[in-house]
Amino acid sequence: MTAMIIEDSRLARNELRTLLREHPQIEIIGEARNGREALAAIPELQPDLLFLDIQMPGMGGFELLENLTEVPLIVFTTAYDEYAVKSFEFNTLDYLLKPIHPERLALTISRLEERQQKNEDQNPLKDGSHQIFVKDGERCWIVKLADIRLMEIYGNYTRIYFKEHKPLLLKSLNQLEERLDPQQFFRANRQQIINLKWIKELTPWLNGRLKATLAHGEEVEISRRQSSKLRELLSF
Amino acid sequence: MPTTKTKLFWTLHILGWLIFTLVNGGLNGYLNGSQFVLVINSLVGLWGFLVTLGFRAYIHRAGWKNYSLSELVLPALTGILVVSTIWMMLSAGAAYLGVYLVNAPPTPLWILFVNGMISGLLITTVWTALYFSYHFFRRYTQAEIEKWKLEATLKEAQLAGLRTQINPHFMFNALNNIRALILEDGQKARLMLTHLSDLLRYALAETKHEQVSLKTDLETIDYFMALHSIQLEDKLHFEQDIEEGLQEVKVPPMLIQLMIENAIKHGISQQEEGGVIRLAIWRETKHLAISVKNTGRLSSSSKEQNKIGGVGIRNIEDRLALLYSGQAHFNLAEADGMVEAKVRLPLEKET
Repeated sequence: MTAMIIEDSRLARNELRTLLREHPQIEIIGEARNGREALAAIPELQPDLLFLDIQMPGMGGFELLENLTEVPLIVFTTAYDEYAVKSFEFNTLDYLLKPIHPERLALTISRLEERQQKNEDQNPLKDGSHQIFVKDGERCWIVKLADIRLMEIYGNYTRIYFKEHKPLLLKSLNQLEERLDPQQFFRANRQQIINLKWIKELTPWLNGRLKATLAHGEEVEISRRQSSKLRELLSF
Repeated sequence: MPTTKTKLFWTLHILGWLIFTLVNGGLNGYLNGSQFVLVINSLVGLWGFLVTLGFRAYIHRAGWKNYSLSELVLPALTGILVVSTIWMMLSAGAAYLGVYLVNAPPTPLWILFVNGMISGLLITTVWTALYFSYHFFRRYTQAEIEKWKLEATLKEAQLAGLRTQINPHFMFNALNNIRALILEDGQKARLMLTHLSDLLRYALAETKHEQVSLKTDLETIDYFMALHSIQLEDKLHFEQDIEEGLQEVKVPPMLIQLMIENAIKHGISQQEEGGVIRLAIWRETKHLAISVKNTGRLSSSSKEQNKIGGVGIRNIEDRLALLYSGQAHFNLAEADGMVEAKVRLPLEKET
């Protein structure tokens, strides 16, 4: 597994390198001193994993994640247990308090390996860890694209629906659409994009249109043009 | 041992009834020119003295002293009526007996009673009013004292809370950096660990005092900056300019540290290339001026300030308000690409 260390303090980067020597399965392929440097390096280095400090000069950890088109696995490293870290959905990522306990780091790494293994089992052809970072107010999530059922225009932003959450994403629906796999995500109408895998029921609606009911009960009317497209796509 | 409160009661009670008896008895005796009236009126005074004493004992037992003014009105009026009735019945009896003894044509008992009742009610009311006024006044002043005590305790607690605010981020980063330094430069790691313990000791112990000498406080600033420099390394440039002869001036402990911490948090650590922190301390007529400048802009960090920086600035302002009650000033301004936090303290603190 390839990893990058993103930390502003040189000593803290060295400390983490020292600790990671015990875990040769983690290969450190780069370092960055702040979010801006990381943002420039990540597309080229394509690390599987980031060890990421939250407070950094210039661009901090959260801002970096908001700017990444694709979010790799994340382990936050922080000096103090902040409110922001607490509000995370912990199953999607991990965080380490500095100074880091070697045992705690070992636990994190075994979890990461387990997670990677699971992803490969689920989706052997594609990298299943396609995920995005969402920060709405003080809550943050790292969401797998596959978990998103519905995306909906909300002013200049987009509301995304996954599990029981529906946070706002500070990107337009069109910006998002460019990054989505058209085999999985379908433009239902001008306002909404649905995840075909989450459709529970498709019912004929007025004027040859279709209505999709999603797994959590959301109902989406599909425009006429898109309805025929969907019929074609699903070939029925 | 009677308390001063009890002593005061007896003094006023005896003195009051003595004056009443002398005035009442003396005046009536003089007008009537009779020794007999003097004796009767002395008895009236004695009855009054004893009956109000009984009333006091009842007030004690019934716990009227804890009543509020409105709760007291009805019981007090009833009490006045009962007390003056008893008093006047005793007095009328004495008068009747006296008249009988000198063989004068006896005035009917009820006339003596009704005549006496008017002045009896008046005197009893005065006694009751004086008695309760004293108690209300006492209760009021005691409540005031309690309030002052509470305020003082609160101030103490607030100061303690503010004082011990060592930024946990700073502390844990320092510990983490020292851990890395142990492998890289053992000697330096040892030095930094000593600095950190000195700083913690200072935060825990020295700051029990409201004020410390500038010299002592500046020593810990050196440790503080050394610890920050292992985190920020070449991104931090620290300059200081302290006017001569201010070593023994008193300052609130850790105030300067708090100002520098803010400057680092919002100035230096926000900038990728780092910057300069400039500490200047000088005398300004009757004030001590402390200025901490950092490279950066005020507007760019205002968003951050609302979130975290607000706390630092509020701490500084709160501490100054608590310690100097309006005589110290804090302001934050931007000029020539530098943000300046400036505090002016009165050189001689009024105590």
